[in-house]
Amino acid sequence: MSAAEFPARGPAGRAARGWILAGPALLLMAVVLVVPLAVAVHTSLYRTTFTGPDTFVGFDQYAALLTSTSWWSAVATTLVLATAIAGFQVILGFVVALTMRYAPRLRRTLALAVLIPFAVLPYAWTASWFAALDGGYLATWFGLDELGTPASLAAIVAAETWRGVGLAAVLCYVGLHRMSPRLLESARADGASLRLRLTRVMVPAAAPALAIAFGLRLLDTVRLFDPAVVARDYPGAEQPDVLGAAIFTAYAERGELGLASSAALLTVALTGIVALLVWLSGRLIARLRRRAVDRALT
Amino acid sequence: MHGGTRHAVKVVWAGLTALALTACVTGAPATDEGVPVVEWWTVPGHGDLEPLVQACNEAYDGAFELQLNVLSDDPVERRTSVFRRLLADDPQLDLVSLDSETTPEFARSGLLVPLSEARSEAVRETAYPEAVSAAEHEGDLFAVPFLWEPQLLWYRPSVAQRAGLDMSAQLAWPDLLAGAERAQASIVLDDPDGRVFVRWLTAVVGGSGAPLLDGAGSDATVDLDGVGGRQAVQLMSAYLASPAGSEPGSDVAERFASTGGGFALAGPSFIAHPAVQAVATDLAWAPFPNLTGPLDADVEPDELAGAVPVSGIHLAVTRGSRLPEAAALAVECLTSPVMAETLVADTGHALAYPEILADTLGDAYPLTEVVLASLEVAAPATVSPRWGAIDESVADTWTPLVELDDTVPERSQRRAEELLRGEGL
Repeated sequence: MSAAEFPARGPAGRAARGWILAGPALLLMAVVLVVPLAVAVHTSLYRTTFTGPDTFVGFDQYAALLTSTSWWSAVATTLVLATAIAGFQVILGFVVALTMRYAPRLRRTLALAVLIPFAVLPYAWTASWFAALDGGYLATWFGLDELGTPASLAAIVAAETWRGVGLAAVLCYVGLHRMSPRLLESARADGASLRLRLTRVMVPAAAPALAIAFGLRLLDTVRLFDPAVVARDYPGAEQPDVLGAAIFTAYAERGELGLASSAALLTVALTGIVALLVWLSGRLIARLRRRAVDRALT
Repeated sequence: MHGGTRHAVKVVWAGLTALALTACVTGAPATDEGVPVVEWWTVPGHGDLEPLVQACNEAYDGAFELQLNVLSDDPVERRTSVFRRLLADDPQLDLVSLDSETTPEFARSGLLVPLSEARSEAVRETAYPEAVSAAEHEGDLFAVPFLWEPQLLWYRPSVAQRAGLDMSAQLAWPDLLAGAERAQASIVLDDPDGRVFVRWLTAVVGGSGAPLLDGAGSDATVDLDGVGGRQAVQLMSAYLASPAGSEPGSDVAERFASTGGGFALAGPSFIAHPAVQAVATDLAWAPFPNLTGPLDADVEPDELAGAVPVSGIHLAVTRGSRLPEAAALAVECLTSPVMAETLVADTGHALAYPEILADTLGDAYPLTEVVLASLEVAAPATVSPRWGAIDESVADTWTPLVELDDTVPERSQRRAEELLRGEGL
């Protein structure tokens, strides 16, 4: 492409140049995204088993899933666990972010400490929590005789929370960083206590970042899989039928590729709905904050 | 000198390539003497199959070298892993042991090598017909019956005497439970393969006439919440609540042999369990107790006697095997009358061939009489490629045992139908 053909300067030209430069990347992303989805849609229209020939069933499997208790119970389990996990991650992440922000000396050590879990193999870290609660040191501390339902759910939530705290902390840290230092200074000058500064200044200021952190962590946690696999190795443990594990079982243990594809696509749709809700609530928070600021100014 | 080195490198390189090529061409693994190595994947059990394998290797000197490998303890995992390996044409899997409940599904999969005409005929003539029909598909035989075993009632005569039970007559379950409680002894349920509850269901539902599963397609009918299914749950809850009851497991032989032990429901290989040897002088066996009992007043006691759970093992040569002939030969050896004594001596397992049991073994196998009698009134799993739905549904809904209540029959029925029709995760 010669220089003459390259879109001219100016706003219109800049937009065109943007498309040309980003085009190949967008195209690649579309291919990477669309092709597997298309394959999944195709397989989801067939009933498959290990042995039998595939039979075309149209959208029957979607309809069957949406009216089955096993699907909705998996959805409920997944959302409850994911919400709890993402919530804990953001709370702990905010604490870590505050410490990093106002205790600069600890910053590096802390960042390392909370990000290391992210680099550990998922199966390994979950198994370590299970081992600790199943006759390990945590079982001794809390006097647990056996790994019952509460303990195994605690192990799952703890393991997943531990993994994501680092990422949540980074997101919260960005939010805190964007907060104007003058806000805090004026609050201090007005004689606000530490508690008031935290609840009335820092949390509202960081609210949009916290909402984004929660949303991103939630979307990531919906894919919960490893804990369910680890739990199978502990006979006394609660076996949570989270979506990821249930879809895996349908395919890997029963050969129901079509059904698993249908469920996977429904999960994609579910993730989209969750993302939409997160986005809407983010806007709601921003609007409420603006209104509060307006009210304070008038 | 320099040129010499280069030449040496060339020679080595050529040699390596030739080696690699030979490996590719000959393919099938062999021992140092050139005997083809047949990898046999077996279902875990109580006994030791190694002596049988050694005996076959010696008897068929040079024809094959059987190698013993063991599949997973968990039946669902076992079925899945075998399927995945067969689908991938895994050459490390020449010969595979199949749970007879899953054999119809594998026989229809096109992943197994069918038997030759002559072999099929021989097998059809000698093996138990129920075991043969499980391996049949469109007129061909895809697996050879190996074991075909009824569940038995094992007891310690000293305890039975204390309990005041007449073990020479067909025993009813309520009498057995009451007797064990009187003698303050335990009744244990052996569960070496995770199928204890399906066996229990077969024993109760089998007596009522309606099969647990009827049909071969996804429109097959399930009967897990009928009279029999509900009764099976009630009986199991009552058993678990009784002082004589305890959770089924794969380690019950130790409980049976300990001081409180008295009775056990287990397959023939229980006799070869190392822990049982401690009480070998105080050990006897009887046909499976009549589980239906007086709860079902409409049915005559005579009609109930047929509910003896039966299951077995089939041997199949895999499509991916590079040594199908050697593997088929190995199967012939493993199921031959000559090897029968070695098998029962070390494993206690009952072969799927009535004539071998009755004529070849006779007194050499102490269980011959009770096994033959029990198989007369056997209730094996329905021959259907969909049996997996029953297996999985029962595994899903009957455990954990603390949650075993009257909602279980309905839940297991719904789960089985969901799995059959592919309508749920």
